[in-house]
Amino acid sequence: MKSNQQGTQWDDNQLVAFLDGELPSQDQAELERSLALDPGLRQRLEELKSAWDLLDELPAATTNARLAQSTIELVAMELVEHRRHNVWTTRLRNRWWLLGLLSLLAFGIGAGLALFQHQSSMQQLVRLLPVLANYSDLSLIDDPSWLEKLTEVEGLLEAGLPLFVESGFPNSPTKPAELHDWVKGLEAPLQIRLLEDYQSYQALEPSRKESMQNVSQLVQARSAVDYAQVLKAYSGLVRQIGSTEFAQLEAEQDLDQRAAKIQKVVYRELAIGYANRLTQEEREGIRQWANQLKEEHFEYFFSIEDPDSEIVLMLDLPSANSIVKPQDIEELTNRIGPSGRSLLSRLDESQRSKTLRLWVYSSLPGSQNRPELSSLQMKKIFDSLPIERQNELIYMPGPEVIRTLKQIAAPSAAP
Amino acid sequence: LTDRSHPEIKAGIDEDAKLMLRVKEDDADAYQLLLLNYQPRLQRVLRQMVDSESLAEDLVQDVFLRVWRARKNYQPTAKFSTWIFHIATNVASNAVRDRGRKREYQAAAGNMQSEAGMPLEEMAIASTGQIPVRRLDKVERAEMVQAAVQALNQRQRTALLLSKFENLSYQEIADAMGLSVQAVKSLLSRARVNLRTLLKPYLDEGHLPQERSLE
Repeated sequence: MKSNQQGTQWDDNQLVAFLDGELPSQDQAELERSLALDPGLRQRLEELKSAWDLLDELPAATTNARLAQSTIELVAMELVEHRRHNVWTTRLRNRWWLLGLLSLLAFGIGAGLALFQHQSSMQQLVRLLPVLANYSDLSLIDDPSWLEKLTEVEGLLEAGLPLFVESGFPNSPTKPAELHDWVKGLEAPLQIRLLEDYQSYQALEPSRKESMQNVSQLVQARSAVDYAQVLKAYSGLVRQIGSTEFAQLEAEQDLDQRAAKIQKVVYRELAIGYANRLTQEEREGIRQWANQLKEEHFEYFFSIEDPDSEIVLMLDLPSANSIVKPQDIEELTNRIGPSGRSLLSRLDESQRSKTLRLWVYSSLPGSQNRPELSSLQMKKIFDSLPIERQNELIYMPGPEVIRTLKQIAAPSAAP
Repeated sequence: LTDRSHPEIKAGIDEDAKLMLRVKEDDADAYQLLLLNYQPRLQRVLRQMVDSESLAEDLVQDVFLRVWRARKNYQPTAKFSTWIFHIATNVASNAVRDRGRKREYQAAAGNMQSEAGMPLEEMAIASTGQIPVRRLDKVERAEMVQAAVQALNQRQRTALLLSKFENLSYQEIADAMGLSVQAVKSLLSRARVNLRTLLKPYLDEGHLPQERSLE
């Protein structure tokens, strides 16, 4: 086919080879030159390429867990048959005269052996299912003694159980005969997860497998302590705090120390969760406290567009820079009921301050009207200023510092 | 198992071939990994080769049983994907041949059933644009491409699928299909030109070539 001004002929074979990167380099350079000169050739190439790209419309490849499972079962059955054959051919080798006599018996015993081996592997799988069905939760516990230690963490169930997410696996079978139907009855995503967890489990060190089995047995055991609940609560808590903090906690080898850290996390999460459980009386008390503060500092709040947000911001400042003084904090705490106060008493000072701020924030509707400038954001703005400007701000009263930083953050919105 | 335990593994052997060498030593985990990796890929290619989802599933199983049975004789002389797709193309060819014989028998008995997909000639007539057209949605587009692929002959289709979805080179496709490189080159060229002809109305205007034939 004549396709350019130089008279070079390019057939479809060559165009296809070019698209597949299979054209010799010399021809490739020549074809590229022809393409630059010949619009018709470019169009032919483009049409071939577009038709090729349309193949992407065909259904994508997806994992079929049912098919994978049944293939493995087929291979396992073949393996059992193969072993049965090997066992009996080895034993009867050189005893041909016995063959006739024992053939009937051998068949019976061989079939029994195959059945036994099949049953045995099925039983092993059934034994493993409680581990696989709770694999993600069990993988959080590195040793049964850690699960036992977790029972000493006060408030763990209360903090973690509401956050627990069920694995989605129905009750796993207790008999090998039920295994096949149970797996077949699972939704496809669960079947895939089961396979993936099985692979992850198989990749574990033998000691880790053993400890996971032990934890699983402890969870299933009937005892005075409901370890299953403890595991669920811990799982819920871990998923709430995220992987970074969990990795830090898990790095602590001393179980007592680790439990003490978990205890702090539990108190913190309970305190955070309490923001949603504040009673009407407590919320009303917080609003009265805020109104009282506004009345006391009428001159200051008079010029503030959004006084509720300002109060929330003030709770973040050191008392020297804030109009919210320690006695105000005490007054605020007194407006919280015994449960809330009890939670506050378990927190360290920094956590207590943050918690109170959250409770006030959730109770003052005005504080949620606009995106607030957090203390972290304020600090970032402060750090970005020249040192001379920072020195000026350090000696300013707190409200003035906040106003200035807000102005820097959003000059157009500032008064 | 590490490479040390398999002295025959040399640098350059793909990871799947290494897995297969573990399977050779009855490593069930390695077999399972290969199964999970290749099952969807085989399913996609076989589905197009035999034009039946359920038959493709059976064939995938057949391929993996053959892989298991052949494990002791496995030698990593080529890419693993080339080897497994060689098995797959053989299995699919046998299945299509068997099905052909069955249909011949049914036709002789006066029980001929219409085949799914659009014959090449029909697609070509449709591409003249004489038939009413309408815009395609995504499902219809997939059906149209499916029909175009089915309109290719089996060897063109196999070469096309291995090239498109498995990124096999001409040499690897030749190994998988038991053909010469020149034959593969020719097959792929004809497959792609036919595909361009069949899909031209859509490429030009985004229209369905012929509604009836895709139903």
